[in-house]
Amino acid sequence: MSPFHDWVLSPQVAFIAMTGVTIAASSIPAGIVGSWIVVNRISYLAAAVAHAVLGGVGIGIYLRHHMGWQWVTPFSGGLFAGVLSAWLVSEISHRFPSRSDIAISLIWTVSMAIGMIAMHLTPGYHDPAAYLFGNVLLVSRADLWITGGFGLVLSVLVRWAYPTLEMMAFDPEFAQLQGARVRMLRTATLALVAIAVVVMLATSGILLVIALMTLPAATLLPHSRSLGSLMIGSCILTGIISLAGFTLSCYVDLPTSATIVLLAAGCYLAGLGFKRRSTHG
Amino acid sequence: MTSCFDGIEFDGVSFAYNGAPIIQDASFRLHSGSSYCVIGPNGGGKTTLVKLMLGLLSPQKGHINAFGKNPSGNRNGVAYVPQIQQVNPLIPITVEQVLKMASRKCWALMNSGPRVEDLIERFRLGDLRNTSFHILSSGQKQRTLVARALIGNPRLLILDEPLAHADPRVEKAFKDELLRIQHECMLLVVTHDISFVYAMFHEVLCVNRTVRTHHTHELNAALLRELYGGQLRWVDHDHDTCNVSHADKTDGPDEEHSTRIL
Repeated sequence: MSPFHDWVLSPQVAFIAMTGVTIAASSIPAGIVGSWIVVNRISYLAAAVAHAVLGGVGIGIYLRHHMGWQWVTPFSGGLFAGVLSAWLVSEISHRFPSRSDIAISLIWTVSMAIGMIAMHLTPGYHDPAAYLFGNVLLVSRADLWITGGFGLVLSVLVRWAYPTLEMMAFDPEFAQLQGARVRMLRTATLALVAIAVVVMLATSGILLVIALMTLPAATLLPHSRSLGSLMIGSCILTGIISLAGFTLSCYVDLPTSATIVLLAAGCYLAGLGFKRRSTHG
Repeated sequence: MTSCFDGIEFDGVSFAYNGAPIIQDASFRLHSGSSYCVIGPNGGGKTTLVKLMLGLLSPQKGHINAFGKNPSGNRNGVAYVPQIQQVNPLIPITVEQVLKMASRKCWALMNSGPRVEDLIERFRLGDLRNTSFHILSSGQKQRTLVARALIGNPRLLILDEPLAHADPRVEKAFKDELLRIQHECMLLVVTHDISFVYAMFHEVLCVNRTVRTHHTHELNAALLRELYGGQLRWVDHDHDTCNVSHADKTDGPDEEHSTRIL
């Protein structure tokens, strides 16, 4: 076998390839959900739901150890807390729009506090930072399948519901008059944010997920002609930023998540500068 | 409870937000084929009244019939044109996409392509079809939203403050268009522009918690002062093309300049 074949089949290359494919797969949910968040100006609600996942992860770890409930995992705990907080945030912002910021901040911070205390009370090493920042270098084959599968299901769902979603984002009252169940769909889209966060938790972490959901979509928003093209463009830009950040962090030995966040922020600022130049000639 | 009345019927309708009454014991009939306008002070319940007619809100007391049905089950019979600033300014969307969104959701309108093309031509949107909605002028945005509302051939078209951002030229063109729409369906317009009321409508709904219907010729300074409160000034404008009067709310002393309706 040639040295090239040896190199291709080496464990290092297999690891890099799987990490790269997982990063590319996670750009699909990040791009689709992120476009929705940015267009509807709900990044604050989405961030609250994303951080509430940490509470569920902590409770999952605690119950598994102290109660012996092996069917409860950090994944299922995070999923339950995320969907529950999505429903709560949606109801509060609908029923009490003028005071919803306080209630949503409460859900955000209390969930995080519960998660950190639950992890502290569970014997063993449970670092909340691992869930906040993730570790793209520890992805497993299962993570790849879950992320890819969720991206595929989400793409099909959004394609199917696209006319209603576009109408709802443009003019919710008109959508309701056309028979769309706007309130239920609003809760469902926030629940999708929670599911996307949980799916990407192991690879990206909560903070990186929020950055990848908001910054690429916000970068492309002024240059897009439709919600669909924004979603597709955001998926591609998120993939490029994530892979470039991963490669750069490997070369210069920097934390991968932080490098990706800075690259995404750099793209957003460059996009703002480009827009200003084109506006002022 | 439903009736066979061919129009909009409110029977003892009341609605409150968090215990604060917004609409109290409203009973009136709006007849098919007629045009109405809704006037009243800010916070008086105009938007709530419109949302009750549309079925977006349900009455806490009383009954509403829209063409013999409950408004919530009458989605495609009533169309609504919101104020321009109510639509999301961030979503990237072209004029053509705005028009087609109305037909994509409704199975009954799946073959509405010719209707969309007719409305594009009628509202002079042909050159703008691939233009971003958000860079249009106020008048072009208004035309697009009215065209979108008409795609489903509604029996009632409700417009909320359609002249809020219009300059005189756009206002004239828009009034001409509304006169044409009056021949197609029932029209209900929410406005603060009293001159608009005299120019176009025969009947007025005065809304300030209670709802009273009047013929336009019954409107006078005393009635408007009662509706809007004491701080009201009546001003006549003598335009080149038409004589109009309007009521103007001020912070100054209560002063009546003219009560003559031209």
